[in-house]
Amino acid sequence: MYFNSQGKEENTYDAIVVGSGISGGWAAKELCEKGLKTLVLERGRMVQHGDYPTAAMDPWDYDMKDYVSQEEIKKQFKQNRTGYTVRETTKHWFVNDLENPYTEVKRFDWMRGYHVGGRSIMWGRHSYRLSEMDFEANAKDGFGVDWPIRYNDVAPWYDYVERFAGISGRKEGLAQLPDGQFLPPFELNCVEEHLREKIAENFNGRVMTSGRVAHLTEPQPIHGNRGKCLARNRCIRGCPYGAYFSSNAATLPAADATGNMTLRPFSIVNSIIYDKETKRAIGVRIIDAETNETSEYFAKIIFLCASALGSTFILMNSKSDEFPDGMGNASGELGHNLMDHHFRCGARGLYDGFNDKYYKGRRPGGIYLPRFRNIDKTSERKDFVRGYGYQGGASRSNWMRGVKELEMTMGAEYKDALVQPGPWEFGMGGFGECLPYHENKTFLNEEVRDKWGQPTLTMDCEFKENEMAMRKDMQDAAAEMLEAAGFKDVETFDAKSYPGLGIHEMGTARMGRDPKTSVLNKWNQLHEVPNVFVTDGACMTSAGCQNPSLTYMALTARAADYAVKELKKMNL
Amino acid sequence: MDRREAIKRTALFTGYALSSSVIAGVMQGCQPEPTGPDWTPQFFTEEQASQVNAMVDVMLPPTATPGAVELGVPAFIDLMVKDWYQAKDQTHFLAGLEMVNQRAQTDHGKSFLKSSSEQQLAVMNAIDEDTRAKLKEQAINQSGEEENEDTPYWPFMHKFKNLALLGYFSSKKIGTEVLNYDPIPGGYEGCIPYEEGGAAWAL
Repeated sequence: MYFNSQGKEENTYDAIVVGSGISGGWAAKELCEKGLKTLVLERGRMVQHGDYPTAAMDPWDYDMKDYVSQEEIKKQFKQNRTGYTVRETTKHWFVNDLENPYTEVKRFDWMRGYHVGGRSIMWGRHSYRLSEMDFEANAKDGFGVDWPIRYNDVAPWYDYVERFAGISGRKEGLAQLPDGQFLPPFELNCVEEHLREKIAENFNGRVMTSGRVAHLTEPQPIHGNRGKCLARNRCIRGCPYGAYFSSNAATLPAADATGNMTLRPFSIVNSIIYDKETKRAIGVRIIDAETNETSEYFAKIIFLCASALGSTFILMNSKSDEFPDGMGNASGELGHNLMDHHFRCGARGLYDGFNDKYYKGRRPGGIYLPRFRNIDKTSERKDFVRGYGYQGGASRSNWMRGVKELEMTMGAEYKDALVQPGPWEFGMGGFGECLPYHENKTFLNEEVRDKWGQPTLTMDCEFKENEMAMRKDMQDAAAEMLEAAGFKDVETFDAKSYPGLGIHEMGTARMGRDPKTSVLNKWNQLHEVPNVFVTDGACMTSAGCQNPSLTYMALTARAADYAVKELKKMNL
Repeated sequence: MDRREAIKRTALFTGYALSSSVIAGVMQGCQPEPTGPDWTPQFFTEEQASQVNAMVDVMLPPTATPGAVELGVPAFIDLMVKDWYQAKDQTHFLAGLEMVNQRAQTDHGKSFLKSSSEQQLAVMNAIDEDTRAKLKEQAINQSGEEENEDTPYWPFMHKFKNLALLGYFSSKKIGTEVLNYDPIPGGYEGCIPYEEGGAAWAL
């Protein structure tokens, strides 16, 4: 399944998929299952399902208890901005910032994983559908351009990908967060159940539900060899049981099983090759990440699934006489409308009670409180448009409370007290929608080059007034709900959020109805080059406030279905 | 086994919950001059290492469960300050050790190392109390002000407690024998009975 031959015939496939993350894995599976000989190009190293070296490590297995030295952090100084990724157990999933530089006009936290599976290994796994109100949003309030699709266009594809990926969740019947094909939800703990009830009593229409996460709580035959979630919550290290959805555990093995997939790691796609006679893309140029050799691969259709900014880079770098400003960029929108979700903002409080209750297992998700602002007439806000949802949860504090929360003098009693669980605390933080602003953008930087001599990206992006007004409400509304439910010492927080850190960057090759104002059509095809499809976050016309990966899965499967049908009709 | 170690272990084996100050008092009688730590510091001077040793020992003394010194926590702090800390935090940490020493001089008229265990603990708790009061005052005065990511207000005593607790509770002994170690829970149960005194989950 791995070769590198230079003959044109041998380098020719039916389809090329660029990237092997959430979107690329789905493109590979769908195209291979529909009979296309498919080449999957991944810029990083091979990771077979099970190659998760730190999956069973405990803190005491490391001299520094999982923390890493400043010497190490220097190599990943931007990846370290999350505060949780550059650890002994996880740092191998994040790029070396010295080899993969980018430039920031304003602070932008670009978190990347260059290896087979991409960020599908480290993702947060929360999986929510966009709703009709999300697809209508731009048309209604005038920010950005209208989505060329509506909820009903995607709904069957949400069904389709949910069944295969395995999404646990509870049906709530909400217009703003459609239900899906769910496996049983994770339980709420006692304090969360209490808050759910109090919110329902006191705040008409607000529902706190169990986070919908891509974990197999009850595996079905469609999930093959993947196992049930054992509540270890070490997901970010890779799951040896395949209990959460990743390309490595789910889509790539399915693609491989068809015999139609060739996966080539260490293959950096530099640009797309365009044929002006046929007005089609005919292949891609790659740089071998290990040998620096360049070569070309050819196919009838190309799926760009290299991440929003990765795919955008490839299009921008695919310049020709026909496309002096980058492939498919007649509209001038390529690289613009960069969005992410803003977060790290909400409230927390302590609960005095349920001291005779605890929980068992480390749940790999938490609560979700879907958007409740601007969903109807009565919830309309004057201070901002769109909305946000909350994530978080309740837990009993551990020994870390001994640093600053436990008001007890140090010594023997203090030490023994810290062995026991502390009081219940609840923290909830909003994830808010960011509007599509034309001036939030990325563009090619010819001066700064990466390790392979390629141009790099510069980001110029910021959250603006609408997001800031929303953040104020995120804090107030969270505190209000906690107080109404009897929590004490309720305090709000805003730990600041810069674009990128949500790791939901999107929008830089948006879908739209009009080729003059958008890059992709309603099937994720470049308006100008119909055999090039972009189905990762780049395609997003607006951001919603929901975690977006499930939508990328659905749009990818939908586009692959369309592409193969068109191919059979000889339209590509 | 040296005498200091022998006294501690006896206390453990016989099941008497001798307080650390009692143990220290016994030892004070035998050893008028403090001895250095039984590990080789990579970052601290011998004197600083002895002080860290003493601080860890009074903060997390042996009780029914092992003390932090015997689990190697002082050497862990040395390693973390050397490799994990940025230069400005290293400087701040060393200044903090000196501040503790000064406080012992002010409150008890002798260096921290020459103070009794009781006095040492009193010095640390007094500084911690001041820190807490100062933080409360700041919270009142500047509510709404965010913490600047580059220069968080992370006072010395919080830094010290953080490293000591991390080293102690993330050690294999405490993680697997004192706390409740359950590496593969099998599933999540959201609401189970808890009896007072039971250990928290290790992970």
